[in-house]
Amino acid sequence: MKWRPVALFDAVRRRWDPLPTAAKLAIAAGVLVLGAVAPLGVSPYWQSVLFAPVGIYVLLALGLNIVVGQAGLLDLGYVAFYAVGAYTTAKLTLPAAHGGAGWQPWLALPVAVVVAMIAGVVIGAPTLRLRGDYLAIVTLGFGEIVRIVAQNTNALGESRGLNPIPHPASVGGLHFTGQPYPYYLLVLTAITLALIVLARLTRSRVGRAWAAIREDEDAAEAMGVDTFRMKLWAFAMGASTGGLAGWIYASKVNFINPPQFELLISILILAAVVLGGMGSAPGVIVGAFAIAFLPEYLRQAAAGRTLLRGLNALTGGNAGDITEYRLLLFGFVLVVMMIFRPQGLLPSRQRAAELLPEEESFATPVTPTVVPTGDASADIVVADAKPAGEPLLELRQLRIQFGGIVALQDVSLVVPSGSIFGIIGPNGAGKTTLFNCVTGVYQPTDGDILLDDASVVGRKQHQVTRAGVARTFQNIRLFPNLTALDNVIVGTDARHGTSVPGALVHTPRHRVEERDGRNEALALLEFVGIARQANNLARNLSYGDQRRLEIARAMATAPRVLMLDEPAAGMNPSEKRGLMQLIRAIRDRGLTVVLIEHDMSLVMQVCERIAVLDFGQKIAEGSPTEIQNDPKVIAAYLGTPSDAA
Amino acid sequence: MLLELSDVFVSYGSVAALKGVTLNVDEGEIVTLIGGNGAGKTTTLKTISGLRPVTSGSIRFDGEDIVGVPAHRLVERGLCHAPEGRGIFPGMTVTENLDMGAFARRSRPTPGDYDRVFELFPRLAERRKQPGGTLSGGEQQMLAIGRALMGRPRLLLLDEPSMGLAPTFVEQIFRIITEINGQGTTILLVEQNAAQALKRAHRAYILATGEVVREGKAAELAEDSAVRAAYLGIETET
Amino acid sequence: MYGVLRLINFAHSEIFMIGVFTSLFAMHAVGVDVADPAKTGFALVGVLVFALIVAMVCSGLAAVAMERIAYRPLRRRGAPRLAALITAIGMSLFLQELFAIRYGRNELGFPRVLAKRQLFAFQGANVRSDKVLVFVAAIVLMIALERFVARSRIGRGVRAVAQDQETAALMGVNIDRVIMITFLLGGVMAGAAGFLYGIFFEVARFNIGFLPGIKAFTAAVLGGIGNVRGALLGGLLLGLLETYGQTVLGGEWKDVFAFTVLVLVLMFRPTGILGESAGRVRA
Repeated sequence: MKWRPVALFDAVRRRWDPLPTAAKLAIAAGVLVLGAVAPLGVSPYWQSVLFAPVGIYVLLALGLNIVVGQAGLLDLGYVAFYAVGAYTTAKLTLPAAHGGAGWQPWLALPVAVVVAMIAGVVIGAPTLRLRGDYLAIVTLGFGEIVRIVAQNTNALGESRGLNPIPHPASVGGLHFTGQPYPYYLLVLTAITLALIVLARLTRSRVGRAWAAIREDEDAAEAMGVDTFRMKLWAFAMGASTGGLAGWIYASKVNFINPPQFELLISILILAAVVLGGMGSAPGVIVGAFAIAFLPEYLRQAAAGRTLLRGLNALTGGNAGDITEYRLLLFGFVLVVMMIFRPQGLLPSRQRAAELLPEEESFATPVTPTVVPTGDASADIVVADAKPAGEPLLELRQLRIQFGGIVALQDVSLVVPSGSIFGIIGPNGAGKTTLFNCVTGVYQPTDGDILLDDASVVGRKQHQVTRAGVARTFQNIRLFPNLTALDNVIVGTDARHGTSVPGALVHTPRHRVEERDGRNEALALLEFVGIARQANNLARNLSYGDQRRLEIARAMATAPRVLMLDEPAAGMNPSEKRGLMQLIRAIRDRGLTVVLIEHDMSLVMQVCERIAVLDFGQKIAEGSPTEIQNDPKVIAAYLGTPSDAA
Repeated sequence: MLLELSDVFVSYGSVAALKGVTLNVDEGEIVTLIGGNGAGKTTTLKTISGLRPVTSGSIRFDGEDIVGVPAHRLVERGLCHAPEGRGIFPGMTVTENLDMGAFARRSRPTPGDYDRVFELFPRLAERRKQPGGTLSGGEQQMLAIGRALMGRPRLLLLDEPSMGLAPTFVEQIFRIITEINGQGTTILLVEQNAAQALKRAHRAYILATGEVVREGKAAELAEDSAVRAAYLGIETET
Repeated sequence: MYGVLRLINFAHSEIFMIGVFTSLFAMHAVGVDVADPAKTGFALVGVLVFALIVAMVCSGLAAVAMERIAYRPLRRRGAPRLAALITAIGMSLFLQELFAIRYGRNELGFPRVLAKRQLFAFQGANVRSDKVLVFVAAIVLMIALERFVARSRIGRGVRAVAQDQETAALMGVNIDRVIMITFLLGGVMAGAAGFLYGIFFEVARFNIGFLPGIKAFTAAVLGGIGNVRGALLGGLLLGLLETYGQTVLGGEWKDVFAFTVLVLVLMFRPTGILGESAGRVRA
C-alpha cells in the first residue's frame, strides 16, 4: 500500500544516505545557491510568498523541531517566542513618537534573539518538570497568555498593534525596503544558520542527551544526564530561533498585532514538523514548505479552483477561496499522517524507528553467548578507588517512608571498597527502594548515605551518578532506538562538560571529548563482550546482550560503585556463568559492586558480603556461609538450606 | 485433548518469536513450559489467550479452533490466564480484583467462589479491603492466581508464578498449584524455576528461540543430563 | 475520560461544539426560531428534552466515530502518546474548520426557549431560571456518571482498562468496546454540556469549544484526574476563582487567569485536590 510520492521520498533518502560527506556538502551548497538565485526568476508576488509565509515557516519549523523533534517535548505555544521576538523588535526600533526606543533594527537583532531565549527559559523552567501531554497543554496556555497580554497592554498596542517598524539599514548591495527579495536572502541565511546549529548540536553530547531524554528520561537521568538543564537548552534554542524569525518578520512587514500570533501558527508549524518528519531537517523543510506554499499555489492555480469546487461540494460550504480550507486540510493531514505514516514524509532514520510499531524486546539475531574477554583495555576509564577494604559506601540509619508506609527502616550498611556486596530478600522487602535512595531517585526520610565519607543525600540523580554511583535497572532500561555504541557514549558523557556553546563552535574540548568518548565506549563494549553489536540498535540485541550493554553503559560513567539490580534475571545457567565472570572482572578493575539478586547460587558464589532485607529491615549481614546458616534468614527467606548452593 | 497447538508461528514485526510450536495439554494435566528468556514462553501463553496474533498454524481449545478469537471471548470459554508480573489492578481492593476475575461470567460471583480462593490463600481473606497495589509480591501472586480461579477455568495458564518470590514462598506457591490441579483444573505452567516446575508437572516442553527443542515426561526430563546442565543450574565454580 | 485513556483529547472541545450546534439545529427542526417567544409548559419541556437528547446522541456518535477512525488504528499499532496527541490536535482543527466552512465563522443565535426570569433572590444574588436548570442538570448528570462508573459491570470494566489494559483483556473485558463506551460516555456528557451552554449563552460558533475545553481540563486537573467528584469540585472552584480574578483584574484578563491556574496546579499539585489515589496508581 505504498503511496507513490511517499516512495519517492524514500528513494531520495536511500540515495542520499550512502554519499560521502564531501558530496553531501557540495550538494547542500548547490541547493543553497539555487535557493538564493531562483526567486529572481519569479514575480515580486511570489518572492513575497517565498519570504512569508514560506521562509518564515521553515525557520520556525526548524526551531520547533529542536524542541519537538530532538528533545521530544511537545510545545503547543511555540508562537509565543515568535511573538516575543517581533514585539521586542518593535518596541526597540519604533520611533520615540510611537512609543519605541528608536534603535537601528540591526542592533535590535541580538536583543530580540536573547529576549526570546530568556522567555524560553522563563517559561521552560517551571514547566519542563511536567511530562508529555501536561507540558503540551501548559505551553498552549503560555502561548495564549503571551497573546492576551499583548492584546490587553496599552504599551504593546493592544489590538491596534504596533507600527511603523523601520526597515534595517542597507548591508553591502542589499537595500532593505519594501521589496521582498533582500528579506528572502535574510531568511535564507537564518535558515542556513539554523541548519548548521542543528547539525552540530545533534552530533554532540547535547544531541545525545536529547535523544536519551526522548527515549527514557529516567534512565537518562540515571546515566548522569542533567535532564532538566538539557531540556531547558532545547527550549532556549527553539525559542531563540523563534525570536530570530520574529525579528525578520517584524522588520519586513512594519506592522504587528496580536492576530498575527495566534495559536493556529503554533499548530501549523507543528503540522509542518510532523508532516516532514520529526527530527529530520530536510523533512521539516519540506513539511514547512508544503504547508506554507501549497495553499498560496492552489489559490492561483487552476487545479486549486477545481479542488475548491470539490471541497465545497463535499462539505456543503461555499468558500470563495481555497485558503479557507487550509486549516481543515492540515487537520486532516495530521490525522492521516499519524495513521499511515507517523514518521513523516522524509523521516530521520532514528525517529522512524521510534514511531513505528513498538515490539517487545526479542532476540533478533540470536547471538551465541559471548564469554567476556575481560581484556584490560587501556581506554576504559576507572575512577580512583580507595584502598581495598576501606568503607566506600555507607548507609547510616537509612529510613524512607511513603505516606504511612515505611519502606526502609533504619538500615545501616558498610560496603568495603573493592568488594562485591549482595543484597537479598523477598520481593517488596525494600531492595530496589534502597538502590533508588542511594542513587538519588528517592530522598530518604531520615538517615545518611556516605560515598567516600561525603554525604550524597539531597543530591539529584545525575549528580549522584557523577559523584561515582552508577546503576542498572531490574527491567532493563536502555535507550532502545540508539545504537549500542551511542548508549554507552551517553554514559561517558556524564564525565564530560561540553554544552551547547562548545558544541556550536567545536571547541578543542568538544573534539577531545567526542574522540575519547567513542574510544572508551568501544573498549567497554569489547570488555563486556558485545563489540560486534556496536552499531545495532539496542532494542535489537538479545536479552543477555541487553543486560551486558546496560552494564557497559553504567561503567562508562566511571563509577566507584556499580549497582546492579537483578542482573541475572531471565538468564539461563550458562549466561549466568558468563555474568559471574564479568562481575568478577569488573571488581578486578577496582570497582566496587553492589548487587540485588534472587539467584542464590550466583549470590553465594560471587559475593563477599551479603545483607538480607525483609519488610524494610536488615535482618542479617555477613559472609555467604554465615548467611546460609543464619536461622533468621532461613526462616524469612531461604527456607530449607539445601535449596541454596 | 483440551489444548492443541500445531505448528504455530508468531512474529513481532519482522522478528519471528515462535517458529512452529507444537504442543498439547490433556484434561487434568499439569504441563510446564521451560526455557531461557526470549525463548518464547510468555509469547506462547499470550498467543493462546488471544493477546498476540498468530501468523500461521492452529490452536484448538476443547476441539474448536480459537485462532483469531479475541482474548475476552476465550475467558468466557474457561481459559484463564494469570499473567507474568501478576497484573494486579493496583487501585482496586482484593475483593474487587477477585470480582474482575469473574467479569466474563456476567453473573455476580457466588460466596462459594470466594470461599474456594480464601481457602487456598487464607492471607487474602485477611486483606479483602486492601488495595491490590499495597500487597506484598507474594500476596499479589496469590491474588493473581485466585483471580484467575474466579473465572472457573477449565485451563489455567500461569506465567512465572514464582518470579521474584522468596525461596520459602516459592515452595508454597507450587504446593498450591498442585492442589488446584488436584481439584480438577488443567494447568499450563511457564517457569524459570525449572527444578520446581519439573517436580510438579506431569509433562514438560523445553523451548529455545521460539521452538520446542525437547518434550517428554517431567520426571524423565529432570533426570536428563543435558537438561540438567542447561536448565537446572547444576553449576560448578569456573 | 482522560483517566482511562491517558490521553488529552483536544478534540473533545469539538465534540462539545457539536453538542451546541446540534441542539440548535434540533430547535430549528421543531420550528423554534430566534424570533419566537419563550415557551412554557409542555412545549418548553418538550423542546428542551428533545434538543438535549439530540445533542447527546450526536455528540456521542461523533465521539465514537472519532475513536473508530482516528484512534483505534493508533492503538492497534501501539503508537506512542505523541502520535495520539497530534491526532487529537488534527481532529480538533479539522472539526472546527468543517463547521466554520459549513456554517460560517460568525456566531449563530439561539432562540430563547426558556424565559430568563428571576426565580428568587438569595442573599442578594440573582437566581435565574436558566442558571437553576444548568446547575441542576449538571449535578444530575455527574451523579449518574459516577454511579455508572462505580457500580455497573461496564463501569468496572472501564476502571480495569484504566489500570491495566492487557490484564483487563485476560479477565474477559472487551477492550475495544470499553474504550468505545468511554468515548460514547464522554461524548454524551459533552453533548449535554453543549446543550446547557447553548441555553445559557445563547450562541453557537465554530471555535466555541476551545476555551471551555481548556477550562474543563483545568477543572479536571484541579479536582484530580480520573475522579468524577474531583471534576465537579474543580469546576466549582475554578468558576469561583475566575469570578474573583475578574473583579480584581478586569474582565479581559479572565482567560489568562484560567490558564495561570492550570499552570500553577500542574506545577505544584499535578494529582489535584482529590487526586491522591489516582496519582499513586499511575506512579
